[in-house]
Amino acid sequence: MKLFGSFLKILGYFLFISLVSFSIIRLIPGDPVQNIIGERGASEEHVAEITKNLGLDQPIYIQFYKFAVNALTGNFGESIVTKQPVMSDFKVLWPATVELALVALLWSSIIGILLGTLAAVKRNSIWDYGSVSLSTVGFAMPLFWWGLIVIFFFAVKLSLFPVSGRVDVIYDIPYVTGFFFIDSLFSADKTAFISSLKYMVLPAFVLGTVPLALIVRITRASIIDVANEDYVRTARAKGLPYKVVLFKHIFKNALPQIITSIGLALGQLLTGAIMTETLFSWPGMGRWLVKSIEARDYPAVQAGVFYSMAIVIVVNWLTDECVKMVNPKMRDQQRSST
Amino acid sequence: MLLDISFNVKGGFMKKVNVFFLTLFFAYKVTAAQNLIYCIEGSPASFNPQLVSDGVSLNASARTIFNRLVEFKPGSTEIIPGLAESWKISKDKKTYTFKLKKNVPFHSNDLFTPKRTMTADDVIYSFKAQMSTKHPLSIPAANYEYFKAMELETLISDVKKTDEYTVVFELKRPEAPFLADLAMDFASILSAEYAEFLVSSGKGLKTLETKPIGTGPFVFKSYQKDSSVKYTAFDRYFKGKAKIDNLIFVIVTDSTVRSQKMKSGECDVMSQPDPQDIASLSQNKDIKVISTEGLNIAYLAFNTEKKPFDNVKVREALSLAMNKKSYVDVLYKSQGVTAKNPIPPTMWSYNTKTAEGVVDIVLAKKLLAEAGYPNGFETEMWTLPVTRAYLPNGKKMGEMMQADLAKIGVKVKLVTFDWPTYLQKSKLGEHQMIQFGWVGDNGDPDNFMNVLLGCAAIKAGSNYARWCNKGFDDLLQKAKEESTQSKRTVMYKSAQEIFTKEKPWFPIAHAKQNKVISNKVQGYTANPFGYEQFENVSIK
Amino acid sequence: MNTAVKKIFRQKSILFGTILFSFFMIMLLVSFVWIPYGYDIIFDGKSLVAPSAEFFLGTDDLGRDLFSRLLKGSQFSLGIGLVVGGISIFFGASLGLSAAYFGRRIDFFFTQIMNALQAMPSLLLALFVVAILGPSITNTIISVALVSIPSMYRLVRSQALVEMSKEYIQSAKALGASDKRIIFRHLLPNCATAVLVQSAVCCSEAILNTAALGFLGLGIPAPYPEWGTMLADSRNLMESAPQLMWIPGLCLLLLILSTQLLSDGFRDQLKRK
Repeated sequence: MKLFGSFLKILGYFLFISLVSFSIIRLIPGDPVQNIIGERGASEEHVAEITKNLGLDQPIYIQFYKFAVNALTGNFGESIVTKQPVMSDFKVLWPATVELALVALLWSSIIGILLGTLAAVKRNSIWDYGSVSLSTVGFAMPLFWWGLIVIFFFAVKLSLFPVSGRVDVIYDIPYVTGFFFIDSLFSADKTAFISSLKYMVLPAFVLGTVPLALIVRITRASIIDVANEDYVRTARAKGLPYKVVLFKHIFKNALPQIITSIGLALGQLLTGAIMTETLFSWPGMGRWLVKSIEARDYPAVQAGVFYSMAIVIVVNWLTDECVKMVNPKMRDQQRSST
Repeated sequence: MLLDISFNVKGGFMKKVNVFFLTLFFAYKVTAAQNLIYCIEGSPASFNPQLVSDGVSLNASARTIFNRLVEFKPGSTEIIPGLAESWKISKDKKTYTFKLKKNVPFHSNDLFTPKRTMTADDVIYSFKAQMSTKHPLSIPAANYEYFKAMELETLISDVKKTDEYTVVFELKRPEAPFLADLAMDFASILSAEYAEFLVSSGKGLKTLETKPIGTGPFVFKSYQKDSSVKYTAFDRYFKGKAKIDNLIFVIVTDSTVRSQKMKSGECDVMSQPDPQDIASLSQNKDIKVISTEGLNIAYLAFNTEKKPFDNVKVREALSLAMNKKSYVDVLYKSQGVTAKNPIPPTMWSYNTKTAEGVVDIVLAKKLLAEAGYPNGFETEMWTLPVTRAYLPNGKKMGEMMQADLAKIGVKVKLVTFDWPTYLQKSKLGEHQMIQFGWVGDNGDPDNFMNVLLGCAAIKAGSNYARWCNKGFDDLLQKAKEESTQSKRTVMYKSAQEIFTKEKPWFPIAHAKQNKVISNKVQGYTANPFGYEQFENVSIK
Repeated sequence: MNTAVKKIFRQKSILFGTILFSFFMIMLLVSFVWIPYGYDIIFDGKSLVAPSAEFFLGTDDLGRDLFSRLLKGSQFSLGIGLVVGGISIFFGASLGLSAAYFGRRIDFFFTQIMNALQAMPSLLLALFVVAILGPSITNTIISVALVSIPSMYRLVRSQALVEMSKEYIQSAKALGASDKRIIFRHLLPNCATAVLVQSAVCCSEAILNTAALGFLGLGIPAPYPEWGTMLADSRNLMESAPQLMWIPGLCLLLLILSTQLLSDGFRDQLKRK
């Protein structure tokens, strides 16, 4: 019975997501036909013909039925813009977004935990004030402005890193996994890997800014919390060396909270990717979705919205569960990544 | 320093990894060859030139992969032989006979290797597939929109061959711009053999859009959406192999980012620079900016079906209030000239005698009062939501117009939508005043005036002023069937006078075309139609 | 100044937050009575003038006074933040309280709606809403508010649920107090501080999202100078007139910073109690 209940729940979610992703793009005025015709004129028959070719002349419920049934099997149809199955575009796009998000998460967690711990251990020192101000400013940073400044200084003025893209175009990266850090190793030219590293630096830096602020903040707060617990005081009183206390007691007990904060950051990264990818022409899902909306590429937008909603629902659910387990107070530490 | 060390460590590790993988995977290296990197503003929609109409797709297909029977001479609108060696036009101007060049090879790709060179069959296939969707090699459910837009569907009665290298076009009526039409991108010659192979092998004709095969200077290699398109030079190109080895189109949608990449040396040639960036680009010692007159116009159309714009006095009053020169100075910088006629000054039949637009607030107020609006009125202006070659920034243009119109009491609300919505709503005539523009297809005045201001264009949707003037339209129709250019010129000139008197538009500007190229690039010519050709280009 | 207030200001985040926020509030109030040149007045031939005595911060590429536009822009950036804060308090609190108080179907119904709203990345939702309704001031407010109402709702609901389980509510019910009285006399005051903290968060989110929409070209329509739009419009002038980009961006950053400092400070105060 319980199994049946959760089956119904998942079915409900599926119907909801597919209904939203199907209808939301159709609610926007303007359709793909107009985009194809552009400034020039077109006769009624001509418009009707294109509409028919795109399968948009069928009754709306049939279109939805076809979409939902195909979506169940993971088939989202063919993109109007690329004429390729949406899933084959996906295969290239999602690794780009995930790779960027992972690198951003990696550096922001390492530096974030380091700074947060340092701030907590050396309370009221310059480290503490520095980290806290950094994280406060980082948390308030409008990403699009930050991105522009970073591009201007590090790419245009100093030419340290490329302005945009994913790897130098002279390299042929064979498709193996879609992750360029891995695929570039399969390229004949070994400098391809270094090139892909260089292209990653600026976008990952910008995307990781808000998560960094979040992680510093939560790490610091949770370590201070744990340090005030009785058992830590006892350990200190016993005369254990500070390092031992820090790693054996404090850090270990603060870890669940820190990990949850990283989970929170991950949710933001996947959505924050929209802005960062647009700024850096990063060929990932976020930018692709925005472009597909502009072009009214119905199948592409349907698939994109479907997946991003599914991801958000799963990530929200997972984080909620973690937060419930660890510390209910952390729920309000969220910020949309724009 | 820290970064350097880690790179080195990785480098050492990489060597081993690479030696290992090299034995497993075949991949090749392109660094030593001559590469030309062209940064473009969007992703190509398709690589079948018959199906696309936007500049990006045409550059990525027609001008790189394909050839046409006749072509435009680089840098001019003059017609020169392409795949046709020579041609004859009959006395009644209804039969065109083309002699084809021999031994013109097609490319090959991983699916297909051609067994024969180009013949009359390929030409017939290329046109017949577009003429009737019933043709066996016509792409099912395809939309040959450009072919239709140029009205070739109703013009050509038959295409046939008299021998393997002679093709005859039969027309239903004389049509002056026909030869120029054949030089346009949609008239590219595709391989009939390849199309037959795709049908017989079950790959389907849709493959033409993703794996094109042509006779052109470059062979299509790969395409990654929103990222890049790669080509290699075709070593058996019938005009001789191109000087560069690899041609790479890099897709960078943001014009600011494109300029930045140009400055940092990541691009060799860039498309569509923002006029605001031209100054800083030309200051850069490694970059050259080539300006040529463009075949385009930007205009503000008054919806003459709606009050108060049905009144010519209102249209004139508004035109008198707007300071065209300041718009061009601020938004186009030195990259545009003010417009007064519906066609650009470089086009034949341009009427230099029509009245220039002037600013006269007093007269404008008087005219408004005569029209019954002494205190002005409230209205809407739709501002172009995208950057087009003819108008760099519709929103800022709107803000300037709004400020000017306020001086005569006309309160303008600026409205905009995203591009598809804008197109749809404006084709239905929902707007009051609207910014639009046009880039010419074939250098013929008909392609401006008839498409944008003809009575038939109201229904088709491209007459955004929704203006139908009997005298004007009659002149256009007569000029279209006339084949003597001097007689056509007279008719188009008087049409422009009617236009200037009636003011269905407030013509704004003709944008110059800016080509931004690196100093490394040699042998580059800018084309008046705005497309790019890289077959004669080399890298220093 | 009484001691309680002094105590609050002893906390640095509240102190700095208040100073910064009042600065922007003053800017907003001033903009209603005095703007030096008018935000949409174009000075012909005076485009891109450097900061001078005539134009305090210089002019933009069309020849409009940057300082005037910045002042006017506060009405959109801060103004929308405040309005959306208010809207989310109203809807978030009323729906959250009724969900917690009446429970069952009402709770289920509202919670599902809020879940649905949160099922899409916030920027994407705002983008879609603006695209569907068309860009205008009202529609920007609607789209940005839709993004922040759910977080307020969740917070109020959970806080109210905690209160509901307490004895005094149960006894009030037993004594036959009306629903209205319990909600407004007991539940609401006890949730007030939490609402206050969250409204500052909503306000800063609204400011960010409004600016982001403006940056993506779907914000407040021209010629209104919203800060995100001003920033986007001057991207390509970064080299020739960097102040056009620096100043609106900095204002945005400081404004968001001030609201976040305030919400942080109040949250700490809450914890201490």
